[in-house]
Amino acid sequence: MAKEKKKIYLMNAPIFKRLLAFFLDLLLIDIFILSPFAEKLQSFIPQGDFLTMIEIMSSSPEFITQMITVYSIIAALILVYFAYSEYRFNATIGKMVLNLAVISSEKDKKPSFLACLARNLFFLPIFPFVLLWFIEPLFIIFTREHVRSLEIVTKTKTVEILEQGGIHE
Amino acid sequence: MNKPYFPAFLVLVFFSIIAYLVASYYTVDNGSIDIENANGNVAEILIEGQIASSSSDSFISNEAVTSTEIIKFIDRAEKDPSIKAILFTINSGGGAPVPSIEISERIKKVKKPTYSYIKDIGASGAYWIASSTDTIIANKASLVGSIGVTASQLEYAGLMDKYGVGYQRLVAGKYKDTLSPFRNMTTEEELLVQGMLDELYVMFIDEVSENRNLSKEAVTELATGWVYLGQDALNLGLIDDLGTREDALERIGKDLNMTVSPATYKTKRSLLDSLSSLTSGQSFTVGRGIGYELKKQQVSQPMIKS
Repeated sequence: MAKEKKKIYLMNAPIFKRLLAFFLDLLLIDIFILSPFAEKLQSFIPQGDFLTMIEIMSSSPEFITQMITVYSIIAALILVYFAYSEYRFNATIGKMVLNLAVISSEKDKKPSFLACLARNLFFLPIFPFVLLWFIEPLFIIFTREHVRSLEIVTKTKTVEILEQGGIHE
Repeated sequence: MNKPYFPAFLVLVFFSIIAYLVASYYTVDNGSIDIENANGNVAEILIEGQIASSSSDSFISNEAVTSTEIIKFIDRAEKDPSIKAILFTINSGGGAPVPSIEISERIKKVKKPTYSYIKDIGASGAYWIASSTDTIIANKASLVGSIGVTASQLEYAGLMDKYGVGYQRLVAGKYKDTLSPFRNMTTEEELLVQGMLDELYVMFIDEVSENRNLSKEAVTELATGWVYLGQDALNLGLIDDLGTREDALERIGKDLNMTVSPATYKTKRSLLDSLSSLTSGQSFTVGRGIGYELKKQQVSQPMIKS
């Protein structure tokens, strides 16, 4: 009976897998983090046409403040959840399912919590982070290794874990 | 390779708990208003029981509706962009004039369409409030109106004399103890109180006349303090339509060309509030029971004072 050790290879994560993992995470966030705020969020969606909506919103600064506060709380929770999961387990649940992991681009180094926090700053719905909603997809598509701008800055990357070998008789 | 699904899931659950805590704290902090069906587009504000300035003004606090509470609901409904109209569901025989006027004045400032639906009774101060809304709908069996003012009081002077209880009158200002139950009112005092009531009565008539677009003469004629059934109230111009609560909601939908979904506003009660109202209700019942027994005893065995 011969035993062969499993070999693990890391390669840059393909875009479609990253996207799929992200959507899976968004689904979990919707169920676990957004649902408690559902009632509050629903009340922020005014009925009527767009102009009426703008008119109502601009006539009520208190409403705007309330809306921004709630959205900021949600964004902060999502940001910390992503950062902690990537720091503690090197992946969120979505990434785990698709065999993806977040590692440091520097050899033999583990990404710090701050780096994990910084690489997810695009969740914050405030300027200038909202610009990342446009910048990040462009970076993923057009960079050679398909990395995001925040991954470059924080020296982290998302990789796919491939296993080869196993137990053979 | 073993993946830490379970610990990762626990982290997600932990964040979910935080989200629940934050969401509930935020809702409680936000005016302590409990909204049933928060996604609704018509705010339904209930005016039930005695109308008072504060809940302690009512004999049984949980049966009072306060102007502070109602005004808070109106403010909230007005600020909420998803609310297109406000419906006041009224079931009250009135109350103190000041809170009724406060609510009425606040309603007049509302920019959104306002409606009243009168259930069993919408009388006196409650009708004053209803008249401030754009449209009043009542059931054909509802009691509407009672335009008038009263300042009745119990007077124990005779009873006190009977049992030899004296009233030592110490006042600075000759009218200071007017309406005191321990002595009879003088003719002068009666005239003064009546004058005050007449002023309030005229104020009430003016208000209804202006709100309902009726002549002062017409309102004065029907302002006998009497309550009218829905159909009579409609004929007299005190209300705009007959129907049920559902008809009232349907009318709002028709007027505003939308599908109505009512969001009912209530004051969020803490566990302590609920317990307190429960105990006050029970205390009242116990007190009433004791009073009834004492009264029975008094009738069958009159107290003899030597």
